[in-house]
Amino acid sequence: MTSVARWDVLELPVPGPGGVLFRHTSGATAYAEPFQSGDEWIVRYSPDLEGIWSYDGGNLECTPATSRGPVRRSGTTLRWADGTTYHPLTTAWFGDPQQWAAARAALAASPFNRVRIRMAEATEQQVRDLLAVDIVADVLLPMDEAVVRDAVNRLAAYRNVNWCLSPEPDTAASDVRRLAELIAELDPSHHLISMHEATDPGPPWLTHLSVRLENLRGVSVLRRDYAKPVFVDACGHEGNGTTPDTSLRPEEMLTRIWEGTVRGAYVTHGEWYVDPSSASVVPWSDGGSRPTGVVAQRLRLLREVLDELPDGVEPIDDYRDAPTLAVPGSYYLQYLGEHQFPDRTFSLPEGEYDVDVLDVWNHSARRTRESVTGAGTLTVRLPGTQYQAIQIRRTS
Amino acid sequence: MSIEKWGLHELTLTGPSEGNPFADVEFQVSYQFRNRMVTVDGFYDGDGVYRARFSPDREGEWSYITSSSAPELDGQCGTFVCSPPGPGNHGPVDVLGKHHFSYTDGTRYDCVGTTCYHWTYETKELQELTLESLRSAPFDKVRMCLLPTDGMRPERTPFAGNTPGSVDVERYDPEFFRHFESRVADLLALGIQADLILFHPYDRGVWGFDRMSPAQDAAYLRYVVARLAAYRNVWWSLSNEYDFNHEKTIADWDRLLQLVQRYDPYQRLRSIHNGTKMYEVFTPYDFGKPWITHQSVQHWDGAEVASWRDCPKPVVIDEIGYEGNAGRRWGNLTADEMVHRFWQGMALGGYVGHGESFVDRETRAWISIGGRLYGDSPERIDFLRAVFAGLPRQSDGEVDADRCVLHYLGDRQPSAVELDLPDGSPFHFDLIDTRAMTITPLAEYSGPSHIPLPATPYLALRGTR
Repeated sequence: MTSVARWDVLELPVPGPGGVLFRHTSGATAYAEPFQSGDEWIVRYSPDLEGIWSYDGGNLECTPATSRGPVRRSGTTLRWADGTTYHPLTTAWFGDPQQWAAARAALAASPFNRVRIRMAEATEQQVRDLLAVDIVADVLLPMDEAVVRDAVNRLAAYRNVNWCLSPEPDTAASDVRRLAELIAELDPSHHLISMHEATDPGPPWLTHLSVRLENLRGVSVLRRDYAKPVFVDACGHEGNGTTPDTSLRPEEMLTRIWEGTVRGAYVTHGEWYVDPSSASVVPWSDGGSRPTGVVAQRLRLLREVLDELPDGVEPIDDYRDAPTLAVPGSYYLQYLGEHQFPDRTFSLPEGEYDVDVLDVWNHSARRTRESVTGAGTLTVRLPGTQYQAIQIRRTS
Repeated sequence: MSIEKWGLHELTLTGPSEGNPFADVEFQVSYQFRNRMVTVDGFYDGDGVYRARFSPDREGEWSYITSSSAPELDGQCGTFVCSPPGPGNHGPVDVLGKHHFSYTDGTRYDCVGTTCYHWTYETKELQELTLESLRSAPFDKVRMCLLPTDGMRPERTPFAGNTPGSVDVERYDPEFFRHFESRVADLLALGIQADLILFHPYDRGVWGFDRMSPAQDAAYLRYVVARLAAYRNVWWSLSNEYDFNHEKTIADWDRLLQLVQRYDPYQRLRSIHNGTKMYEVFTPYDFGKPWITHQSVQHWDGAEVASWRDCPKPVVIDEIGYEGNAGRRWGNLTADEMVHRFWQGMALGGYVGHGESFVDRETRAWISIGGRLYGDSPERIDFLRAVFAGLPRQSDGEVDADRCVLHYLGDRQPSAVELDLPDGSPFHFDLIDTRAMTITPLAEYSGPSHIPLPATPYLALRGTR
């Protein structure tokens, strides 16, 4: 019997374009339509339950997972299918397949674990390459039913895919619904589905928001209003391009990403450096070979912080003048942005704490061990410069 | 088992009845077609009975599985087949283009509504008379309230109890809802949309339904949506005259509208209706907000439609005054004035709702209790409905200006009009007398045209080519 690990990919040649129904011994079902590859029709399927699945033509055995599976929505946050938390850090790469070999290596070595790419012929190989380095691909789909159908049939079995419909000037709400529901119908892996800049991101067929937003403070209201994960997929690019959107100072790009993240959203990095004397230099987000700016490197600190976030952190509004993520009583991450506070005071229960002052721009950290007695407060001294974050973790 | 497309699948299970099952038991059902899952809230229907309702929108095999905090309601699964829609079933109404509506299968929806706020609270005989009146009336939507007003003393309310001051707003009366739902189903059988008004300001603290806590409001809305959303003719009107409720703020209405959006798996049409004061104060909700599907307006002037169309959502003047002889400003228009306002609003690309308020007839005001219609406007509105249904339109629902000119002349009495028509093949003109309900062929015109008229009010010119 064919065997495949849970959330891995199985390929089955089938005689024609008809869909295949997979039935698990528990009664669960999954439906997969084939795609055309040369003269052949191939069904690509990724089972999400261990055990025996039967289909018209055979059985397959799904063995225990060797991965965390696809990304799932969990309230306003995200988790891998195995239940562990997922903190995306995304960059935008909309480019030429010619540059892919270099871009792929740059992504693998970057702090990013998610990349936005546009559906094209090369996307299938790109998704596989990204899977090998554990990076999620947010695949932008046009408002075109045939393209959407083919993309989902080809790519849904890869656990590292998210779907993002991209708007056209005449996109109607009914088109969004039709295509989002079509994706849900065809996708046995139940990947996340968004509509970039949706007029109304509220309907249940959209799993999360994908917004354009320059003032990142706005994500808190979006999170409250829609009770879904919020991705700011367009907040500008670090660079020297010819438009306001492509010529952000690196400090501004970096602080936007931190501000949105500490407000509980997910902010996409973009980079747009042009060389006025050489048209052959392609900006990273336009499909360049590697990020040449300074923000991508400085996001390593954020990556480290995200990797160490305790389960269940949520934005809190106890500190009205600075965004704060917390597990109240045991963990706090506060970001101070462009403000030059001399110090910050926290109300904390009695205990021992590791306190990190993170200089986000200079990529440095200073750790001290502090004690709080009684129902006390802790005042953290700061260097009085911009782009500081404070991380407090209870140790006992 | 087979359920028609856009019909209603109901699952019934038994579970715990102790404590407060309305609040204590989580019960949801996930329905699946191919890989697409639609999760609906189930609800407690009293006496240990739990139900879930679902309206399938794809033909073929659907499966379902329950999940619940109560073991006996958890993990129950099954399948059913969704068959083609039956005769007269065109699916739910949805927005078409920016400013119009259509049934899901593409059939035209006229959107000519009326109002009978508390008809379901009346005697059985009167309710049946209302249905009988609606059967022969031109209306395809009825605005109706779930909650009683301060002066009413009904046998049942949506909540547990019927005496002001001793109603438990954290429990519901399943029998009230079963009855209310049967009336929604009666309207569905007549092809009429039920525009359900979920809150209103006419409580003034007597029942306290206008000033429940945020958690109580949310639980009430979740229960209502769980019970009623699967009926394909349901629309949500969050409140009547929302701005007359001084216990709630705009932020509250935002939140409550967002909650209804979150609870509703189908995204039924959703709006909120404003009050007006002294024909002066007009503070509609900001209909540009994403969770609003259409503009539900109270206003006295159909000519305002043109400016409201700047917002890219359909305009429905649900209350433009009522035909009748009531002692209140809003309820004593002549049929001429009522129908005039309809023509004005609709000729500008909006929709208008009817209401009637005769207070000295066999049955009291139609807008409050239903009963019988006495006015002269319904017949003329039916004539208007047929005229508008016959206009050539573009795919976005707008009248096709290249093939059709509609010019409503209002309450003026011109002896002729000058129209600057497009050149090219001529338009064949008809004179429509909206009062006499006649259509008289005139001549053909194109380019700048002088069209003689009989100098009487309430005329419309229709040119088609």
